[in-house]
Amino acid sequence: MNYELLDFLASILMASLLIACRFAGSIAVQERALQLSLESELWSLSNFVMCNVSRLYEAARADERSAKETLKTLLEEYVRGSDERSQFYYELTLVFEHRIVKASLGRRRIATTSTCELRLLNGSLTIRVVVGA
Amino acid sequence: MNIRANALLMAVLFALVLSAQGLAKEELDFVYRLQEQRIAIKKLEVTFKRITLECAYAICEMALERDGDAMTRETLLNCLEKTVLLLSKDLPDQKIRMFYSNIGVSTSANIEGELVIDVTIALGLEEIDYHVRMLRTAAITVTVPAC
Repeated sequence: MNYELLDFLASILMASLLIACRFAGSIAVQERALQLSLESELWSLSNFVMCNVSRLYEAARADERSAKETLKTLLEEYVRGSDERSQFYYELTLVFEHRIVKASLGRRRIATTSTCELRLLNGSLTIRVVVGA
Repeated sequence: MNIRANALLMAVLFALVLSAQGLAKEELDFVYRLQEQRIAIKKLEVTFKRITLECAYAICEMALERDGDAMTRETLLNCLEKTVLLLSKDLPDQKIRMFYSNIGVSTSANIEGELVIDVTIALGLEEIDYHVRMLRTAAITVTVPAC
């Protein structure tokens, strides 16, 4: 048996194993980090929406166009708050008296999303928040 | 002999890399745990705002339905608890519980003859998974138009 060849093959195998371990580890780390940033963004945006809920309620009561504009303005104000936010995709959906108004901001190239639904005023107003990356 | 030494060296290297990765993973887990705790605090913030908003809405409805003066502290506390219960049913996956609640109310009339209800809500909320606690107070003023 050619021991040198065997040694060489074992080295190659070990090196590939190490690279595979490293690669799999970094993919898992990246995925978890992305999921956490999405969750964090989702709850920051929900918090921002809750701080401005009276504006949304007023707009929703007025008409569909002004509701859409308010949603868009709100998203723009939120994204202006931090440079990092421009890399995400944001979507707000307002459901009020059987009327659904949706606005989004950012490029839609979604690999993964995080969603939450805020049911307010005894269920008469629902705001769906989606953050994607 | 040479082959054995090589194999041994390779095994030691492999073990070293694995243990370094393990250490790095532990550190990362710690960072992630901190980040998850921060997310839990944000969730509590949103929940607190939702509860106070729902309470203000419920109090408005109560005040419009009947005489605002008839609202005792007990009825308001009951309203607060019902609201929290409603929301906790609505958010089953978020594992948030209320560990403290208090409500204070005072009614007065302004010069236009409107009934002014001042409500102070104090809430203690906890995220069960991360043991993150938050104690907050909100003041709400509801003005009921004169009949």
